[in-house]
Amino acid sequence: MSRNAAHSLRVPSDWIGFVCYLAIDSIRRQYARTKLGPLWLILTQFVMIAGIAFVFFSIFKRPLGQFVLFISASILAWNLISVSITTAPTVFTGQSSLIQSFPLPFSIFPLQTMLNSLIVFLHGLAIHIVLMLALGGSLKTLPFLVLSLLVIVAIIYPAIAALGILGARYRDLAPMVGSIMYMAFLITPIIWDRIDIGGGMIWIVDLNPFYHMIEVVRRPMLGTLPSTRSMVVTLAMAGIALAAGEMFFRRYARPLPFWI
Amino acid sequence: MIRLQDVHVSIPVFLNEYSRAIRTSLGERMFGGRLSAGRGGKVCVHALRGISLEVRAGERVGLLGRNGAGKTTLLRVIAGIVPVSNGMVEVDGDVRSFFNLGAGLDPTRSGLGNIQSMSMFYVRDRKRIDETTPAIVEFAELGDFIHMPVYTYSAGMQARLMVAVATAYGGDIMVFDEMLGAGDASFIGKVEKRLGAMLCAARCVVVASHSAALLKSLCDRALWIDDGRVRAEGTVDNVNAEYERAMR
Repeated sequence: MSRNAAHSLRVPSDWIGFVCYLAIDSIRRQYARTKLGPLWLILTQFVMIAGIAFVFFSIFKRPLGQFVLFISASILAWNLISVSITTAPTVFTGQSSLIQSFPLPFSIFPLQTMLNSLIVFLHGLAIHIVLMLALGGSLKTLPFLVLSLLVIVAIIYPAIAALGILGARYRDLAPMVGSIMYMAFLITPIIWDRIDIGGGMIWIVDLNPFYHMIEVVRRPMLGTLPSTRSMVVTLAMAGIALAAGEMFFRRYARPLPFWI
Repeated sequence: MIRLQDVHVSIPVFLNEYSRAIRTSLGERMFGGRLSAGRGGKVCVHALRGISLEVRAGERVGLLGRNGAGKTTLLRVIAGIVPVSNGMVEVDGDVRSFFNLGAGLDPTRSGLGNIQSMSMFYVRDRKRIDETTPAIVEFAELGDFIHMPVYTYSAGMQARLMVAVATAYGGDIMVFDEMLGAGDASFIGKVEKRLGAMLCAARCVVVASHSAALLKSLCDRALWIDDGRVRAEGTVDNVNAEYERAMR
């Protein structure tokens, strides 16, 4: 593999095992010397879910059981998307010593970030399933989640790669994306539902791409299917992201070793 | 086989507060490559300025030159790490290169853990790594410290570990900077012996060094790199004599 060859989002097949190794290794490193280890993957998410559910239950007097499940699915879906996007601008700059020492294909780093988020998500999903069983939710639409995750990966992976390149060249991007994602958390129906917003403002929600991405992931986790509109929007986003991401990567990945 | 034709490498530099001062001195010859203003006033270091080189199977080439002449950049181009701005690079074979031996080292992990994880960057073959690990442990001679976290190691011990990993896996084409001389005298002797065996097995070798004696012992041909260009080429003795005359 040489940096003088064309770059592509497609990770060469003999590198896939290596990327899985990197992803698992980075999670192990993150929790090295902790007593609970990767159990923190589950705990941190569920402290957040329990906190939000409790506060909203007390303020808005929602039925607790259903609301806990809704928040659990929503937060897991949101974390899958937002953690990837927030860390994307530093995906290459954080690996500068490796990139400058070994001829590794650049695409392995965004893929590793994507896999990390997926691993965290799947840990959370296991607990979500337990919650569903305990609180009487339906698991019959869960298999649809596989398709949802494929679509989400097809959107997020090219986005991480493109943001990674831009973030290496323009260092203001990392804090910028961080604050945008914070805003997105508030204006997207994650801890509140689409119907909570007044009738005249619903179009804002429907224009929000994060809303449709959250929907395709959380609905199958709650025993229903996402709306046709959300499915169509996310499929279109996936197509655009893959095509635009590949074009962008081919065009701009080459000088990365000079930018990090 | 390695073939480079008229290779140029321009490294963009992103400056903040010093940019004006540097821009006013552009065009003057500076230590460590040539600086210039590119499009839109962007500052660039021209690390390589038209290098052509051919290394055929069985050849070992040494690079001489002062600091900042472009030796390491040339090695990085051959290793496929640095993209060229212009020119053609053809490298046919599995390249093994050592630049920053510490890349991928995790001080919180044990020596053994680091052997496993750092090896992944050299060869992506779990089975081969598992088979080679005992030999690496033996070569590093760290005793029971191999099970201790690397942050407990002295600088010399860390170097032993990194060198033991880096030199464990040979390749068709070996590219390296003179930087393996870490550790105490007996360890250096061991590394040289091991490296010698690796270089014998390799098809092409390119090594940069400030030591004419080392190049003489390893290489059959030398290039003097100066200011991003090949200033002289020939036998190690001739090129070194010319280089030393100019440096005097």
